This record gives sequence, structure tokens and C-alpha cells, in this order.
Amino acid sequence: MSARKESKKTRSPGRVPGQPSGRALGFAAAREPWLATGARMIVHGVTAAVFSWPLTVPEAVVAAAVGSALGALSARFVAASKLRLGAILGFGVAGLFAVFFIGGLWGRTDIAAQALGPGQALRVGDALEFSLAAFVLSTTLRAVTLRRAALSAIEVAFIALAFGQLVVAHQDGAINRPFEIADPIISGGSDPTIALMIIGGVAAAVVILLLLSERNIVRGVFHLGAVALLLVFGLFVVGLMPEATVPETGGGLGLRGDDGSEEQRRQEQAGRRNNEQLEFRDNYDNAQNRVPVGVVLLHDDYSSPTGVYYLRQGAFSQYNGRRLVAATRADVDRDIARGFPTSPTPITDAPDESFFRGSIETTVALLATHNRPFALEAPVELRPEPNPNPRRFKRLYRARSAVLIADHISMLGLPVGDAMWSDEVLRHYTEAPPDPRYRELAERIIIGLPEDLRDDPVARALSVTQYLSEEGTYSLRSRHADADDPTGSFLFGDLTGYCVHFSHAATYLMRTLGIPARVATGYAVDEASRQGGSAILVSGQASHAWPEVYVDGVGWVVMDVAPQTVLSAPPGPPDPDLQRLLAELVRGQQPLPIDGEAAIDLGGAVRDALLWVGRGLGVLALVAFVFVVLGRLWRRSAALFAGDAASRVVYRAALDSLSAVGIRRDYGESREAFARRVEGLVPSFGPLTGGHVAAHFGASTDAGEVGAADPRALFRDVRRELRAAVPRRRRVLAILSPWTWLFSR
Amino acid sequence: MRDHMESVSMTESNESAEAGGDTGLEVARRVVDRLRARLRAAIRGRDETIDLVLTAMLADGHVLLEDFPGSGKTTLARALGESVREDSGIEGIAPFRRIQFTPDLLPSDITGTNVFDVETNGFTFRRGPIFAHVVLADEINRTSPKVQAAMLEAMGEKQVTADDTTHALDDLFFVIATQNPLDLAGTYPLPTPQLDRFLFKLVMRHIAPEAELEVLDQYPTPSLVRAAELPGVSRSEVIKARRAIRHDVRIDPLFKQALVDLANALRSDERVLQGASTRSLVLSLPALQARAVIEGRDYVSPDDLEALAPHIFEHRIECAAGIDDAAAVVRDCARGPIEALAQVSLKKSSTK
Repeated sequence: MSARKESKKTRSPGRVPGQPSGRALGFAAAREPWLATGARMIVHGVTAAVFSWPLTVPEAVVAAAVGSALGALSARFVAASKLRLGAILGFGVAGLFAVFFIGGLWGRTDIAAQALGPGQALRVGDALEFSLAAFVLSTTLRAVTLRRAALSAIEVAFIALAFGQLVVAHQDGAINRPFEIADPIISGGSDPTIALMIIGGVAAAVVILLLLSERNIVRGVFHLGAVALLLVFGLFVVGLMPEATVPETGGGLGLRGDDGSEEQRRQEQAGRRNNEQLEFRDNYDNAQNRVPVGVVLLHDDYSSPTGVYYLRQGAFSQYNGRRLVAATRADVDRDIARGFPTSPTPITDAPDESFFRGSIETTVALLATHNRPFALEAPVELRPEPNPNPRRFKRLYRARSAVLIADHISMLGLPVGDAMWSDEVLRHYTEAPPDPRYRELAERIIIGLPEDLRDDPVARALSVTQYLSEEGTYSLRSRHADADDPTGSFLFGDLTGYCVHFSHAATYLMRTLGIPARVATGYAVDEASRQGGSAILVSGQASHAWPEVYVDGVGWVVMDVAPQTVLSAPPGPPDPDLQRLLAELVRGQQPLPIDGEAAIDLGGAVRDALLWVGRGLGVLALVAFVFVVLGRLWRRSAALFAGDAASRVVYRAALDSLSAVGIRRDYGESREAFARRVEGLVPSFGPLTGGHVAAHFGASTDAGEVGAADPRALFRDVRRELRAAVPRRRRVLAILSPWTWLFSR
Repeated sequence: MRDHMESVSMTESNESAEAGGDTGLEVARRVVDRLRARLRAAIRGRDETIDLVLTAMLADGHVLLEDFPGSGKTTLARALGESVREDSGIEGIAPFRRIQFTPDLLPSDITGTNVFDVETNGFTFRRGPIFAHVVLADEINRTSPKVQAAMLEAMGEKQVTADDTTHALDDLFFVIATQNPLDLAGTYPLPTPQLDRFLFKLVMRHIAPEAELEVLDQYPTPSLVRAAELPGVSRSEVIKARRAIRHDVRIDPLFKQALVDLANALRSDERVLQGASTRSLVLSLPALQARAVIEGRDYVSPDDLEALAPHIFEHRIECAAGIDDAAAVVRDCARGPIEALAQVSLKKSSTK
């Protein structure tokens, strides 16, 4: 035994290099397996289709997908060519420029338009341009990646960007974007979010395909594991914070009490129940906060005398030494609803309808979680409403409000405060910082009033807001939050701040003049944003705080400050399509099909597709079964009626008979060896095999001699022997499985 | 290696003179039947080995037997030698010679040497034991490489050279070499290129208990004596049978393709360090034809390739470390070509 090994050892250095395998010399490593190429072709095709979808006509989308897939295929050959990496990149960039140049030329010259007609010319041109560009881009990206594994980052980035740009418009709660995806789905009455999720799923599948198409299967599996871990982590995070992207209530204005500020902790220590408060901030940035938080439907036409709809959610009337906080007294601010209605709930201390106030019904649908309802001021009654779309809306309620229909001027001469109030309540609403400068400033302001109005409280309040509007500068950036009295710092400083500063300053000044005032919070939406519709879309950036004055017989009247100098741009109008769409959803209606387009029922489409696939598979199975049965009958009958080719056909039929009962020749087994193997069972099969092989391999003159026995007679013997040898149930099974002849060889 | 290939083609050209007439294949069948009967009478329970040895002899190849002492090698070789009757008239050719290889053997001990003849006052060549129809080279791995080389040279070229004079061996010259697979102490194992000279390497296993009992039952009559009672064949009949087999047994061109495919499969197999030589493919053709005749056919069938491939190629390939069963490797590699041969007979276009 050692000798054999020894000889091998001594001889192996001088081994004749007879069969150098390609693998050993490293040729095979440069080639991508076909499976990986196929997977990457799919990835590129899908990506190209996704990218071009919003940009062009359907024909060009298909063309781009095909071009990209072909590009991924051609990259195989480009990568195997002798081109240098730089040259590949150069050709790629030059090719793209050339394609765009040709595309531009196509658009400028009118030859194509004349020949094909403008519409057709555009389609053909787009299809050409997109397919060629996709082809060049895919070829370049894939070839570069094949050459240098590290450069696959470029490829992955392109693919990620293609999917990202498709869904980027969907951010900030704009469920109606991107239009080309959302519109048909919404008009069909479905939620576009599902479609977006499907797109996300496709993207994930594409990424998984990309990773699985790694040349090294171990690396592919490793990457797949990493992706799976990330997905699990992502699901975990989403599960933990389902509302992570949609803010609560004030949308970051600081109207929430859970900021962890010192006051809050002190309040909690004091056992106070209501923890809502206003926060002064130096850098308040709500420009990004465009997420819709609610929709308000007006059931009657109503135009606010101030041009702004004030949706009140909370009120701050208690001075705590630094600023105003939610009242702790039970007998004040009772017009603020504490919670959502579960049954028709009248609001205590709500104003009555009068010359100044008219009744308006509204429906409020909350898109984000709020901890208390808001309604057009001043709400009189809240009623719960059934939620037509629980997946979309958090909560629905109906509010009847006694809205202001008279302007402030008409309130001149009215007394402020309420005769029913106790002294304590009055003191509560008129408590201002002890700083004497407030009083001085307030008196300086009312000097500007005409003589006859100087004692009128409403006029005084209006002059205060007018002063602040004229002198103040609206800016989301300010420097007052660190001061002991932020409002004082603002008011007696640079007068630069945002609504929290203005509302506090106005309230303090009014209070020093003896006018009961408070700061109300909620949303202020410009009437223009209705854009003629009956819906008001409330987004996070509409959060507002404003001063209110209690006018006897009218109730709390909004007296907002509108700074004339504005450093921070006001928020733009909401997306009118989204506003209309959400309003339709609130009404519980299916938004009407656009332009008479057929509605797309997503669930139904999927069901139909599955049904068709099922039917197709069924038909295929039936066809296959018929083919198999006919094939068997034909091969069987051919053996009975065969002419010259008897040996072959009869032998084949005998093989089928054996295959039917599970007796088959192994791969690489010669026919005679097979015949010897089954000799015990079917002895006649041996001569039959001999005749068959002789007919084929034997000398032509001797063929008849060797295969002298009639093959048909032998075949009959074979069948008789089989019947005798094989149990009946096995033969029944053979009849029930007509496809066995497919496996005979 | 190259010169041996030439020698093979030379051997073939020698015999392409004329076919064996109308009785060619019949002679071959008679030779097979008689030799088989005699050998079977002499050795019990080794029908398969007997067929393979006959195949090798009719294919003009040599056999390496690998087995244990006392398994009937000598009996087999002697029975075969004694079955062939000398009728050539050439002097000094024995029907059977047995050479026991030992470490101190010299090349001239087997080939023969020039001795001084006082009568002619010159040197005359005295033929060694290799000048015989059937030579049993016992324990060929026990002698030194130079003797092995001389022996294998003689096997390949059917001639010996002594002092610049070439002496042709008998046409029938057939060698059965043996080696003990286990007792390897003090041996000179044959390297793969030398093994290439043997058409077959046969591994004999212990015979079945019934056959063994039969062997004992023959006592006291020696089996060789009883075999000698059966009719034998003449040397010229064997030569004629060889020629008839080469020319009259139909071998489909597909078999050549199958052999090339098999060789390529062996060469590209990961388990094989060195694949089969081209010479081995050339030698395979008469072997396939010989087996066809032994199986009673006048055409080569895929079954012949399946049966012979392991014996032809097992000892010609060098396996990678850790691969012990070379025959299994050959069987694996032969599956593809055999399957292709088996499939082709069911195809319509190929039906005659």
C-alpha cells in the first residue's frame, strides 16, 4: 500500500501536464455563471422599468427594460473582452451622450414626425432613446462591476436611486403622490399605500436577487443574511413606533408637554393633571413639517371675518411666574374639550348664537394621533362619527361651532369679562407678570387710540395686537428661550419671535390693561387654502398659538397678531389634490374616477390574475395529460403496426411496458446489462434486446440472422411474463400513471 | 511512449495481409469455444476471468493478474499454453514458459543471450524463456526495474535485442503477469506507464464456496490432466482467429467516438491526475471486438464497452490522493458515453 503512494509521490513532480483544468489556471473565475447573469438581467430590467415609468410612455418603459436586460447580458462579453476598465467607462459615458444627442436630434427634426405622425414619432423616439440609454448604462455598470467587485457600489447606488426617486414624492404623508401610481389606485377605491408597499417589496426582492446573484454563493448567502437581519430590525422598529413619522398634536410647536422641561417636571411633582404647555424655543423649524395631521370638512359655507380659520385645541391662561400654562382651576377654560366625544357632548361655557356668532357644522378627521379634539372655534357640541377608513384616519368626530360672523369693530363698546365670573376667575384671567414695564408699554400703546375709544377694552386689545403687528418681526429664530421671562425679553428686546412670543406678549399687555385674555393653541389655516372647496387640510406646520379676549356676550374672541415684518417665509398652501382626496375619503365616498378612466380594483386585479394563472396552469396540465396519454397510446400502437422499423419501435414499446411497472434502465447502463438485470423477471426481454442492438450495431448483412426471432412475438412474451411477474396492484398503478413512458430509455 | 504506439501500428500492418477466408469468424468461435472449455475444465469458478484472459489473447494484448498465492494463476496460464498446439514449425518455441521473477534476475535470463559455439566458431543466440506462446511472468514486481523494462519492452514490440541483433518473438506471444497486491515488501512496483503495456489488469477474488468444493472434489485427478483430454487449438488457428476478429467483427464508428469521449471524461475528471493514453484507446478496439466474439456476436455492442472499460483503463490512470477505487472512477466516466450509445439505438434516423 505504501508502494503505490510512494510511486505517486515520486512521480507527481514530473507529471505530464495532460489535462490542465481551466479552474486551476483561473479562467473560470473571470466568468460569471449564467444563473447570476440571468438574475442580474432581471434586476436591471425591473430597475429600468421602474425608473422610466414616471418619465415616459409605456412603450418606452418596456423598451428600457428590455434594453437594460440586454445590456446586463452584453456586459458579460464586454467584461471578458480586452477593453481596459477606463475604456469601458469612457465608452459608456460617450455612448450615453451619443444616445441623448440622437434623441435630441430626433425631437428637433420633423422627418420622423412627418413620416409617423407626431404621437407615433414621440413614442418611437422615446422608446429608442430609453432603450439605448438603458442598454449603454446597464452594459457599463455591469461590465465595470464584473471587472472590479468594489465598483458594484455604483451599480447598487443606481438601482437604489431608481427605486427611491419613484417613491420620494410619497413622503410627508402625501398619500396621493406619486400621481401615476396613486391616481388609478385611489380612483379604484384602494389605498395607494399598499401599492407603494408592493413597490417596496419588489425593491426588496430585486435587492435580494442582486445579492443572491453573487458569483460566490457563500457571499451571496452572507449578504442575504445581512439583508434579512436589517429587515427584521426594521420591522422591529416599525412595530415599536408605528407613528414615528407623524407627530402628535401640535406638530412640534412645543404644544406637547412631554418635552421633559423643568416646568413639566415641577408640574408633575405638584400632581397637576394637565401637562400641556407652551414652550419657548430659539430655533423653531417647522418648515419640514408638512405632514397632514387632519382634515376639516365644512358642512356650510363659512368665511371667517379675519380670513383665517382658527381650530382651537387648547388654552393657556394660568400664569406660573414665567409664562402661561394650562389652568389648574376647574372653573376656568371650561370650553376646552378634555377628551374625544363618545356620545354627543355639549361643551360647557360655549358661546350662544347671536348677532356675533353663527352656527357651523364641521367634520374633523384626524390623520395623526391627538390627545384631545380640536374644532373650529368656538365649538358648541362634539359628536362621534363612524370612521369610513380606519386604516387612514385615526378618529372622526363632528363639531358644531358657534363661529364668529362679525368683525372686531362691531364688538367695540362691548364689555369684556363675564358678570358671572367670580373675582378669582377674573383675577386668573388678568394675572400678568409683575414687571412694571408691561404696564408702561401697554399704557403707551393705548395713547395712540382716539380719545373716545381709549377706555374701550376691545379697542384697547385691538391696539395691542396692532402695535405688535406693526413693531414685531416674525421669525422662527429668536433668542429669548434662556431668559427668565422670555416674553419680556422678546417684548422689550428685539421684538423678534414667533407665535408663542407674540401671543404671550399680547396676552400680558391686555391683562395689564385689565382685559381678560388667554393664549389659545391649535391650528390656524388661511381661508385661501380651501381653494374653493369645503375641506381644510391641516398640516403640522399650521400649528399656531394666538391671544384671545373674553368679550361679554360673545365669548372668547380671537385677537391674533399678524406681524408685518416676516423673516421666515409662511407655509405654502397645501396640496389641493391631497386636500380634495382626503376630503372625499372623510365623506366615505370613493373618489370619482378621473376623466372616466376605468377604476382599478387592486384586490380584484390580483384575484383575476391569480384566477387566470390558475386557469392557465389547469389548461396546461390538461394538455400535458392528453399529450401523455396520446403519446403512450401512439407508442403502444406503433409497436403493433410497425413496418420495417419493427425492432426499434417494438423494443421501445417493451421499454414502456417495463417503465410502467417501475423497471427502468439506469443512466450509463448498457442495454444488455439492463436485460441481464431483468432476466429473472422477463426472460424474453434478453433476446428482444439482443435483436434490437444487433439491428443497430450489427453488420447489415447479419442483422436479420442475429435478430432472427420475431420482435413482435418476443414483445408479446415480454408482456405475458410481466403480467405473471408483477403484482396486480402494481399494474393498476401503471394504468393510472400514463406518463411513465416519458422516463423509459 | 511514442515508440510503443508505433509498434502497435506496426503490428497491425503486419497482419493486414489477407482475411481469414470464409471460415474466419467461425474459426474464431471454435477457438473461443475450445479454449474456454479447456480452461473451464482446468479452473473452476473463474469463468469471468477466463473470458477476459481469452479476450486479451484474441485481442493480442497481455494480462496482469493481481491476486493471492494459490488462486490458480499458474494453472490458468499453463492450461492456456498447453491448449495451443504448436504447428508453425519454428524451432525452439515452447507452448508455455513460466518465469519466476526474483531480485537477482538479469535481462538476459529472460530474453536469451549469445553464447559461443565451438562448432561454428561464432556466437549463436540462445533463446530465453520468453520465446513461448504463453509466458507466465510470476510476481513481476519482485524483480529489478531493468529486468521489468526488458520484459515490458519485449511485450510491447514482440522482439528482443541481444548484441545488436534483433530476434522476433512468436506471433502468438501472450504474457500473463502476476503480482501480489498485499505482500509488497522488497518489491519494485510497476509505474503507470509500464502498466500501460498490459491490456487488462484483472483482480481475481476468492472463488465461490461451491466452486471451491468442486476443486476439492476433483482430487486425486489433476485438473490439468482432465483438461488435456479436451480438444485444443493450433497456433495458426489462434493467429487466424485474431485476424478474423480484427477484420470481420463490425465496430460502429460511434464506438470510436465513445472511446474518445471516455478518455476525455477521464482526463477532465477531478479525481484523475493522469488520464488514459491514446495507445490505450487503440488497444481497446480489438479488445472490444474480441469480447463480441466471446459473447457470440459479430458486432461490438455497448455492453462490451461497459464490461471492458474498467479492466482496460483502471491501471492506466493515476488517481488523486484519497481516491482508492480507480475502477469506480472509470465506471463513472464511462456512463456518459455508454448512455449516448444506448440512446442512439432508439433514434429513428439511425435505424437501419
